[in-house]
Amino acid sequence: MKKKESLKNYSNLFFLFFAVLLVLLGSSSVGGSIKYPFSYLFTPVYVAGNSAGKKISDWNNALLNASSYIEEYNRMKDEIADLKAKSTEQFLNYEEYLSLKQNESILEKENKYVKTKILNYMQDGNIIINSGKDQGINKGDIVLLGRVYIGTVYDVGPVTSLVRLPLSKSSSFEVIVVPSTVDWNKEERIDTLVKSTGVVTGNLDEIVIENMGINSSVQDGDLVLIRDDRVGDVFVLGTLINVSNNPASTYKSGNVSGIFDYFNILTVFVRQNGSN
Amino acid sequence: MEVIKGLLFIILIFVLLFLESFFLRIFSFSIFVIIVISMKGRIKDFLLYIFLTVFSIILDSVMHTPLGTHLLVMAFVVILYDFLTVIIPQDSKFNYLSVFLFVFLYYILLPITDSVLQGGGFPNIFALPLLNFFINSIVSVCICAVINHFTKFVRNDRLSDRIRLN
Repeated sequence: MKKKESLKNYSNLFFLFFAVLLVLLGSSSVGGSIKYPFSYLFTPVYVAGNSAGKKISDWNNALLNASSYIEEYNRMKDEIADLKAKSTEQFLNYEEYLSLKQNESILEKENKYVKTKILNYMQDGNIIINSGKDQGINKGDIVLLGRVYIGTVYDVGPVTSLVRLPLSKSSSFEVIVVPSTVDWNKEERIDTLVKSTGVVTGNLDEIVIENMGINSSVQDGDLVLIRDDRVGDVFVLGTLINVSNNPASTYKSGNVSGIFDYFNILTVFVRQNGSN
Repeated sequence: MEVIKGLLFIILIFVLLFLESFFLRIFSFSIFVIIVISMKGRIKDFLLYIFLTVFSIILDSVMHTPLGTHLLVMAFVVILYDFLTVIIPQDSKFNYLSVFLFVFLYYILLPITDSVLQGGGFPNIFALPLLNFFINSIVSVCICAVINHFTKFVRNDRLSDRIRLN
């Protein structure tokens, strides 16, 4: 009886030990095999709950921001009129239209893209998308919106995947800084445009860029492009802001302002080229 | 009877997961932590640990957190809660302070453990939505108080022959 009591006293410690064991097991190759059946069985319930919550949340936000929506609607009416006029002009430029079409056909030949919706935003700078193994997504696939880099697929479930944004503390990339005045229609080697190279790391609420050459002429507003082996191609990350002017430092640093606000994006495209 | 209990447990898991994802999406609010603290001391530890393990693995699987993240955080806060009950008795009204700490620590430790296990290092605590965690913890304590109040009317089968004074 006494032995049973003493075992009960230590049950919490045994439980903690078991939890640590599970973490170690999860970090091994067995982890994925343990998670897969649970993910397969319970992800539909999670997605259903999440979608129901999103509907309520959207209505809640809409009611709270009703007045600002009316203002935004009026402003957007003007913007749509402007955009219609601009798009008509652009379509008239037949040569540009042809080159775009050619470019699009080249992209489609090389890679396959999966259109996917964002399900959830995590506090640690990750997002969950509603495509997974069943849609042919693999770990390492690149998530894009046009030529803008959104993130890299980090974990794949049967019907959902975890995408690591550049905001995540776990993400770091080699980048190049080019002038914002670059004319992309001219065929120029990108190396001739590079002002400086650098390294970007996520910091949850901002993207930090460091190791830019101290003598480089980088300035606020320059374009930051990802050129990293893990990404494979050159993609737009954002624009350079808050460039440091510390004469004592051996390198320049700053922040990168994303082209899009990551938390306002609804649809993204996954380029299928990763490996399992 | 055991089969029915097993089926009920599976249905409970599905319903709880739906509610967990629903409330996490709307208010970043966890039902799981309230269920655990409410069941603590009311059911056998062994059963609680089974529930904790199964539901934690499910949450890790669907939320793409490293395996064992939820369980490790829960194990830690459960130990801390048991330690606090030595200082503050569970029957005392001050027990709600322990409940508050239990829930608040769960909310804080979860993103930290997730970040550390994913190799992202120790995150900046002040970058976390601490006010949101605080409000969620207060609401959770209120819900626990309501659950406590109502469970007083439910008599335990094993103690049915005893007279209760309160």
